[in-house]
Amino acid sequence: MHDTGRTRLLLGVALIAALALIAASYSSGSSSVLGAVRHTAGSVFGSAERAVSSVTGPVGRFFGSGIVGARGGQVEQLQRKLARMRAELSAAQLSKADYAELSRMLALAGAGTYRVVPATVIAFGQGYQRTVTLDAGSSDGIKPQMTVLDGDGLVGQVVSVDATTCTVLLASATSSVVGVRLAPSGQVGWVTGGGSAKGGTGLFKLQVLDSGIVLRPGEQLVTAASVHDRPFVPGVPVGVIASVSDRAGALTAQALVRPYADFTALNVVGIVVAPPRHNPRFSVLPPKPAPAPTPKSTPAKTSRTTSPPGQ
Amino acid sequence: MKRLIVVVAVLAAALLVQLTIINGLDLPGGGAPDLVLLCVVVIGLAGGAQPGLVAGFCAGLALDLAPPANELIGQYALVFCLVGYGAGRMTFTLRQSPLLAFATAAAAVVTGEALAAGLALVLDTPQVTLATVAAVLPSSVLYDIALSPLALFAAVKIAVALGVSFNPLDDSPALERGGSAAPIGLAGLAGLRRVTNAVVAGGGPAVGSGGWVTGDSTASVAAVGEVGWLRGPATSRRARREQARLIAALTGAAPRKGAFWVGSRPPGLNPGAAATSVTPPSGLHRLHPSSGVAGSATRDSLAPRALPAKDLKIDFSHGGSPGAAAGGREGVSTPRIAFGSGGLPGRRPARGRSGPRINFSGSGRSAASAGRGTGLGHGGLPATVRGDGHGPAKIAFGTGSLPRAGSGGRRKVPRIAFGTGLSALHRSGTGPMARPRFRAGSARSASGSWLAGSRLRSAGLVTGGPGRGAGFRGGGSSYGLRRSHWPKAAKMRRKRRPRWLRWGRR
Repeated sequence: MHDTGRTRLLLGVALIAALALIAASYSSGSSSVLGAVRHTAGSVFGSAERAVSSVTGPVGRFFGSGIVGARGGQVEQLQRKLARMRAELSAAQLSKADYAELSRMLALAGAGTYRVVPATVIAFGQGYQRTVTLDAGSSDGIKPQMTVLDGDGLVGQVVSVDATTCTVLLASATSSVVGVRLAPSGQVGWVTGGGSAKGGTGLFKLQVLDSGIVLRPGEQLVTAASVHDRPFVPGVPVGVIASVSDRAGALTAQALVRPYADFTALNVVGIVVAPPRHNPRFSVLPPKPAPAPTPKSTPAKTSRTTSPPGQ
Repeated sequence: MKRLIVVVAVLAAALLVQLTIINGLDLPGGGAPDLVLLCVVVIGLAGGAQPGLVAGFCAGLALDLAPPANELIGQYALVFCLVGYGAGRMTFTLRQSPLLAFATAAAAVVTGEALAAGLALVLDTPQVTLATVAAVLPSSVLYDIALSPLALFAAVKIAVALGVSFNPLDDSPALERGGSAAPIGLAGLAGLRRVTNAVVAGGGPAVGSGGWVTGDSTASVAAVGEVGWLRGPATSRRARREQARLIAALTGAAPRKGAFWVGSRPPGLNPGAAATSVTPPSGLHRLHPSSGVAGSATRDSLAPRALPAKDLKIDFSHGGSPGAAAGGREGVSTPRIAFGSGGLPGRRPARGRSGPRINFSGSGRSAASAGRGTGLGHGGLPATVRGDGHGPAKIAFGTGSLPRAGSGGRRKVPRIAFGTGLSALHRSGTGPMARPRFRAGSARSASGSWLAGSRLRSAGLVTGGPGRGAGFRGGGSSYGLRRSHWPKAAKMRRKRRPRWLRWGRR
């Protein structure tokens, strides 16, 4: 403020430093120095986020879900319940309770084929990033390129791991590509994320290699097995075709897919640490709605609230 | 130190809350407010360019590194340090009007969001698409704008609690490090205003403001340099600014930053010294150039009743090493000031209506450079000084042909003469005399008030006893609240920069 020259010098230094950092991380995304820096910062900020989230997590979750679906008179009741729960439950217990549900579902659905580590979302990516941070890290056996799922379906893949936290690239990110199989036919294709689930439609884009196939709304998708089950284990439900975009002459058949997972309300997720011994194929999928589905009226939320699969 | 802690704590809290809660909210529109950006903007606005810059860089870097971040390191650091710096340059808006400050904060936030989006669009090509940005950006910007007044309000409250002053009259260099003052009281403020109004209303042709002097006298900036006050002519922008500041300090206008004292700093204004010595404010506003009576300038001040009327003294040579101020020559130390419309002969090719000029010189140098006799009264400038020595300075304001000019080898004191009617001999132009104009309503921070203010402050309060100690006492003029001319440096700057950025460079 007093010394303009010095301030300007400082500005120059800061700009150059920022540009150099950008250039360094652009050219070598996995350089050791930057990796170490990121790792250190990750552990520092990660533990801080864990601490903050353990306090504020329930509150944020409450508001986060409360805005989406404020269910009339239940709000007060939920608030009271929340206060009680906050008083008596730690975050670990909360996730354990959720884990019980999750593991029961997975055990039933996949015949005990996935082994998952439960984790809670503690931080969300800034700006346009579709990433979240989970409170499980390498000390829990998490490694990069593991599949992350929740009770509804595929969530994403682990991209970086710290000691106690890991970062997940959501399947809804535009840069995320997931190999899938169509449920009845086993046709192979892939979905790319639809960008921000917030604001945007949140629909995935499906492309199927066989251009001659006729896609129908309501068809379900599961992940296809990746090589060595990294990053995606087979059989995880991905979504359901919402609308088909017919393009005559296109190389691939294309459709829009409504994901099972609700990316705006992620809370308890599971990280698959051991792939299934057998490909569960389509056994994990939730049951199809009995009548011919009208895709517009069957959003993901509806399918979420249906009875757990396999029961 | 306390400020640093507060800033770091606020930024860390904003970062964590942003990542753990805000980004997870599913707000209508798809966007989310950016608390960290808001914090950086208000820190810049309330704290200045350098704090804003540093805070922006650090916060951006933290945002780049904190776990969910997956993009290139340095993106947010780049954007936020620019935004923080820019907001810091707009600090003056806080002293102008709250509305302007709110608008500035909103504009800075919008700029930050847009910059971040643009950079992400360019650098994170696979992950960020135009559709994504278009979906998220508008609502984010709206949330940010909605939150920015709140954030700014909170920031100003916190800053005030931490001792930052946003009083427009405290936009003073004296408050900066090495400055001399504590905030001026309300009483002093009112006094200043009253005096200013009186001068403006009843002054008539009273030209006493330092403003016009400052403005016109910059024509002789090079002369100041030649005399040896400064190291040579002003070739750089910085040197020009410095010279303008010196001239402003000498002619009664206050410098825009960094109060300057010729010779040693008066004890009362010493930043380190306890404010025990009470230095009364200047009384230059009582000077009437047309009175022509030496000594008519009283030291009657902003708090007139509290101070005995006294002759105005200007002593440039007070204190330890006059040579320091006078360019290294010892024993010379009597700068002289002549205000005349005619221009000093023998100096430089005088132009038509040259403004008042200032000639500082010691006797020897003056003789050498002017090539005439002794002293600097050459050219018929009145009441200038012959020889060295100490004694009370006098100021004579005359409109006539300035008696006592050029004679008298025995005067020991510098004198100042304000004259508009130099004899035609010494005038270089035939046109009408340059008449100083007194125009109201330019900058508040322009001149005068700071020096006067700082003196008031160092005096503890306005109602002080008579000042003791010498020094450049009479320099401050409370007229300076209105300034009709800008020093040359300011003029040049104004050409290059928009008018509303005038105080941005601080």
